[in-house]
Amino acid sequence: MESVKEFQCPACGAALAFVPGTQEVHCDHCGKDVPVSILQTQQQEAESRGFDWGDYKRNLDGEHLTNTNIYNCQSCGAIIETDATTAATKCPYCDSNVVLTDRLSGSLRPNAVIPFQIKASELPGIVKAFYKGKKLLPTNFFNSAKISKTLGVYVPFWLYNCRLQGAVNLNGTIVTHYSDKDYDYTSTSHYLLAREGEMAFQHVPVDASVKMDNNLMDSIEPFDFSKMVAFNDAYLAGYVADHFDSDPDAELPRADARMRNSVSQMFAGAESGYTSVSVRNNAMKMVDAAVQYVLLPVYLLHCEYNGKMYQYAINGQTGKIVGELPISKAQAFVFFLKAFAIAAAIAFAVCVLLQ
Amino acid sequence: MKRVIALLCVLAVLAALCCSTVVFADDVLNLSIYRVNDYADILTDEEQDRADERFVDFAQINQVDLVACFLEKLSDSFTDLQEFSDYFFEHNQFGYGEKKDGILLVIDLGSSKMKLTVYGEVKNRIPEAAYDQMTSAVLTQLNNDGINYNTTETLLSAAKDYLNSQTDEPNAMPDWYPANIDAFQRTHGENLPLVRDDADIFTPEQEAEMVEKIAAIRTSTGFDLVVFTDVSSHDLSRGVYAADYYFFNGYGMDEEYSGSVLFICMESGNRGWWTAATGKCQSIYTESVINWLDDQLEPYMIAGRNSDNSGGEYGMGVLNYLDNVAELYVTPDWFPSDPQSFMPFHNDPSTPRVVDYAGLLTAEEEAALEAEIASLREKYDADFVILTDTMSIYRSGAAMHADEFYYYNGYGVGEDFKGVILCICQRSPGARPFYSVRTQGFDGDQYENEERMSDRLEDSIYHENPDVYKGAERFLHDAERICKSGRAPRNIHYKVPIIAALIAGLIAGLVTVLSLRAKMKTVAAAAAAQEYIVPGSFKRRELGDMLVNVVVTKTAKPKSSSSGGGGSSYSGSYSSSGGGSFSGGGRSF
Repeated sequence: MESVKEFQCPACGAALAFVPGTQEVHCDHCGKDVPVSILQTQQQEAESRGFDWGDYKRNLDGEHLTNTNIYNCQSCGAIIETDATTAATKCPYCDSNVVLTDRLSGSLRPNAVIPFQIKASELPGIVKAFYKGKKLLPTNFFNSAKISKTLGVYVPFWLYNCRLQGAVNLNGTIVTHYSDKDYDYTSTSHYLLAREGEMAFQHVPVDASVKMDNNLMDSIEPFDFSKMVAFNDAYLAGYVADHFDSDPDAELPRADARMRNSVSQMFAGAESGYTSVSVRNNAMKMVDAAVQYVLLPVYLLHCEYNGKMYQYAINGQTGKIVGELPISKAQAFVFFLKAFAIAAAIAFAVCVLLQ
Repeated sequence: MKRVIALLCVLAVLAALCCSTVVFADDVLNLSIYRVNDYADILTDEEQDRADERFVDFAQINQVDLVACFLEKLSDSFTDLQEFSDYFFEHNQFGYGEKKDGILLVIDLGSSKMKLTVYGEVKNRIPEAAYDQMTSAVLTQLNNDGINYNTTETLLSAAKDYLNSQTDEPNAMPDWYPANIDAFQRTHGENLPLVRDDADIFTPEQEAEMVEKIAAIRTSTGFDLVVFTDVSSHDLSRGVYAADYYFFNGYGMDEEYSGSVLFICMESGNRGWWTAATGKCQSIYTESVINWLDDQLEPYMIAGRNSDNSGGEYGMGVLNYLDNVAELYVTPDWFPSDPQSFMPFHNDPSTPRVVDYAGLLTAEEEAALEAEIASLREKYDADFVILTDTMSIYRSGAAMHADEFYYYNGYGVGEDFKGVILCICQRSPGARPFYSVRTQGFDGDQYENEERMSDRLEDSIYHENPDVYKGAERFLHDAERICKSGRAPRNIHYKVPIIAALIAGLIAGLVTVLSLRAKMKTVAAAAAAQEYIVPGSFKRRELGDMLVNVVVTKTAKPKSSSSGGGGSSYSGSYSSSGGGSFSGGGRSF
């Protein structure tokens, strides 16, 4: 059987859970708080190196995701079935918080983690604030919508550091106007601008989980990476954690596309003296690329309304909430009519007054 | 080794010769290109070389460059031969000396046309007639013999004759010009010619007819009038030259030397005409009058330019001009014989308010308008007048005509002679009428009200077949608005507020819904990584900017459709070289 770690209260032996916004785990049974720094396994002390991209690529057939999905709960002995990417979960029988250390060890060990800062008790308020001001929500949404499931998840992310270096070509135009007694002239001069340069990026995040929606994970940015700490599996206590199931090479194009767009914007914005500038091609190459494997905190909520499930994600560090909301066509039409009526009345009155 | 040294020496000598050729080249004449440019392959190589040599000799002896260019077909990049000639002459740096004196003959075989152009200052020393003779000589050779080597010989010979016509003193002023302007004393001239055709553009018959017309105008008006043409304005502007001619010759019969002169300048590069007026005539030749006279003259002058006056177009244009000027001085019956001593009065209320000299209204329409005006006069303390006439100017434009009709016929109510008048002038059936709206004695912005009322009449009146009754009704409606509020309505169609409301509502509705929808959408792929740029890491270097192409688009400017015509240069007040005050305007052709 693979390793399963449960964090138990040293005073009463009950399950410990990490407290968001602190560096402690808490015992709900006796109320004892234990600093995270104390909770170190021998395995963690030995494996401080963590994930390395080069090693990972060299050892593709080596330390890879295990296929074993059966674990024993150390508290009640029940069999815990997981999927291939689960790294931390709860025992479905005794509700103990378990960490599957074999999936977080060796070169599969995350380099860092941002612990949860937002408490679960804050979530209803965050959701309520999310609904506020959304005028196109159906009128019965507040009463009928039900939050069915809330889950605190450590989502695996790749953080890319690199430099883009090389040539960028842009199209520039200069437009001038002049007249003679018969015609107005517009002269557009088209230029090809040859530029080169470089730009460095740090911590460009891309989620490493196939089952997480990419756009959802993009939308909960930004994270404050200055608050990132060295990985300690104690932070996972009480939360679900997933292992990466998409490797860094596969996700690199997403990060690369974002970085190239930023570079293009910077080059275009740096031009002066032209009426308009657009990037023609970007031939920059990526150099000094490095990647970190980190776990970032996300709350996932599901809301059921009118038979449809809507998923929200909340940044577990900043509290930013995103997600799909239902749009009421009737509400949209009402607002359209109101705006139409007011604007039409004003325009009509102005025209009549001008007469 | 010796051979190498010998070869190097030969090369050095050749290089020195080339340089010396450049050094010894005539620095007043660009000898680096041919004078005879045969792109149509008419001449043999020997003929071309021989002709070129003779052209260069000509240039060096006469100090005037001589160039010929034969084209198979004029490129589409040029609109006409003149444009090509100017470009060809300048681009190849032809021309002798600082002033770039030169003669260029361009023949286009494709269109069977030729263009002979004189550049620089040399043309100022030579009468226009000599230029015509040179052109004629070349044309005759081409018509008789076709284009060949003889064309170059003919050009040489004609150019020699042309240059032999030049006067001793470049830029010599004409004989009527005083040698000492400061000492000049203005007097009334005697037996002055009414037509002086130094440019020789009129036939004798045309001149005789002009003299007859001018004499009649002088007799009936007491104002002087002269037509004058010249081959040059001698570096003066056409306006000043015209004024100088009038001033220094002593034209003008009264104490103010009142009168006008039409000057036509036939100088290459400076062709055009100018009407200058002085004394009492200055107030008659307003900008709108000048524009109107020029509008009538312009088609003749352009036709004459295009046909080289083969049909006597210039003369026909001036005769038509004189007919128009004659109308300028016609005084309507109601105009007082002594305006200076006129006493304003209020006419009888039974005096017609609708006066239809031009016959643009039916009897029923007139009656209906009279009835409406009578009702308005009862309601509001103001007068309402509608005038149609056949003459467009009567000593001034439609506006002053309206003012004078209103004033001299005693319209208006109260001390301020409060009222409005619409004046429509149509010279002949099918002609677009000129019209003017004038107001008096109302509060509010008079000019703004008149502009608005005029704008609102344009679509009904400014037509070949104007709907005068509809325009008159709208005029009375707007006049009533002025009486009520002091402000005339703007020219806004009734549908405009409805359409504006619909469009504004649609835009506002869409913008509102789209912005509210945007707030609902919180999930989107991240497009860039601005937040993850390492501060200070952006480095950029410019390798170069290359111009790929230039695209020029043009849109035609709307032509003015107002009742004054347009396109003339006009000066409301300027002086002749001798000090007299003039006003006037003209155009180029």
